[in-house]
Amino acid sequence: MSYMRYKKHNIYYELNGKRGNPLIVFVNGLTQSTALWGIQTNYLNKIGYQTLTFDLLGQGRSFKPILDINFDENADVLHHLLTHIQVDGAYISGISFGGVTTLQFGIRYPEQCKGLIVMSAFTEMDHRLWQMGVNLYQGLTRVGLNMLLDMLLPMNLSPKYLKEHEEELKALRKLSLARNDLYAIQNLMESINSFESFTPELKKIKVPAIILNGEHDYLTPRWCHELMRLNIINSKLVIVQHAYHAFTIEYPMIINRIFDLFVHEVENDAWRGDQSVWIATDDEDSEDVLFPCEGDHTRAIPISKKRKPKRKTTGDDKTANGKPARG
Amino acid sequence: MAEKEKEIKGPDSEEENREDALATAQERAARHLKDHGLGEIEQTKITLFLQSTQLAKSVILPKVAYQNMDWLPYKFFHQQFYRNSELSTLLARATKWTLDPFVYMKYWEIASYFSARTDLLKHFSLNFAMNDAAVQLYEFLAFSHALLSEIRTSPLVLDLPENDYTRLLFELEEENGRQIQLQIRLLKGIDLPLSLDEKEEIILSEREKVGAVFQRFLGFLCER
Repeated sequence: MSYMRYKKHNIYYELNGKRGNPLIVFVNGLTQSTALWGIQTNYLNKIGYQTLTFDLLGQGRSFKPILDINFDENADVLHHLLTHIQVDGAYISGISFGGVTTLQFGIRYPEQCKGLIVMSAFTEMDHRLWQMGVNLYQGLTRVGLNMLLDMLLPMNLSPKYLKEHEEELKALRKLSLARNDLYAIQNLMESINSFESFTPELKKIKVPAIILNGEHDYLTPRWCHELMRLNIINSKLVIVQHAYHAFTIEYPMIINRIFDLFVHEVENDAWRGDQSVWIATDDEDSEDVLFPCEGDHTRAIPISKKRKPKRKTTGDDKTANGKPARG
Repeated sequence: MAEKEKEIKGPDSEEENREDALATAQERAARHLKDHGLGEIEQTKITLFLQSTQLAKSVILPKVAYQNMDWLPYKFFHQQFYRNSELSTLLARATKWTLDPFVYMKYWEIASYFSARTDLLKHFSLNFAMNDAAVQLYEFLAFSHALLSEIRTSPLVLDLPENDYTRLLFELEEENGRQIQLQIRLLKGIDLPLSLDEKEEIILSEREKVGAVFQRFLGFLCER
């Protein structure tokens, strides 16, 4: 057990792996704690990486404020933590809520970033995303943590995974109910109230950034990640096939291989951040982890990017029933 | 294979000590129940303790009943009072009570410690006039927030087979989550002549008191 003092509060963290190896940091999602990264950290430690997981203010074993949490402070906490463990630079990864912190960290503390791995995140909210946030919050406060978890599960995971892991998920839900504190999760959600779009600031990010988005993620859909791709010059967007929001749980080995590939490329000067779009393999044993996306990745139907220009309608285009032919 | 290196450091502040000590006591109690089961003695101990907390939470309504208070918070105080009574009696019904008188006698020590450590009588005897005793009201809100948030019995029965009693413990915490909204809203929003630091200090102090009581109870729960 390790703690760092941040202001008057304690931040819990776990640092594993050999010092000197490339360090990968994991920033939790909303109801997550350090333990949920185990499948990533165990694998990455074994293949030669150092890993750092920590609980944000209000999560797990870190201090849980009652009056207020400032969302921007999450990046400050990480900055202090990296300074505390005396690391010059690290690869910062985060999912969902943690993905937002990862991006903000990249903007505010570039000197401590070697690269960013951003998963299922957002930099602004459209009305749909905002409304979903409001619904989740209402579920938490009016019904309880159980309602929040019940709403999140089908957003986070595929129908197949939900069906095949029904019993495991029931146990996980129970564990989450017992381990999480409602008021602390509520505080974290309320910290989003002051959230303001920071899309224009993404241009400040110059370090390599790999952006991961689940194919069917409807909590933070493609447009959220497309904004990141278009605004982060040194980036690549990867679409994780068949995945929903929480692909680190559903496709852990594929995600582990993407982490390894990304860090390996950056460390060996082989990374080319050209804002290109890639698709992650759905076979964890395949030789290639990523292959180029050739279709229009912003659409749900497979329309080629190269389309014929629209023809002008003339009298000759009329069909037998007198209506103009469709172009 | 990379060498695995784990930093192990002890907590370095009082607050850490308190939180870790409580977490450790909870883990120990959960292991105890897993090893020895949730029998009559254990159920009796848990119910007695939870009933004490329900009683402590219920002191507020008689205090605010005659105050000039906005309708909405009053309505929620009212709701808390009757919901507490309902849950307390349900819990009594679901409990397999022990006939061993020593458990009840021994519990008296916990109840006394509860009362002394949290300064419970102060909350019973105060008149929460909304203007001149606002700080005491804030203290009560912080105290009742701590009762609802610090005392968590569901982690103790997580690994045990489900039955009416364990399900009720989970339901109780779900209900606490709904009830605590009143405390959260008032602690955050009530207009008082207190700075943010002063408010935080009160909250931390009440949390520490309630945490200490819960920790003492967990030790009692593990006694054979």
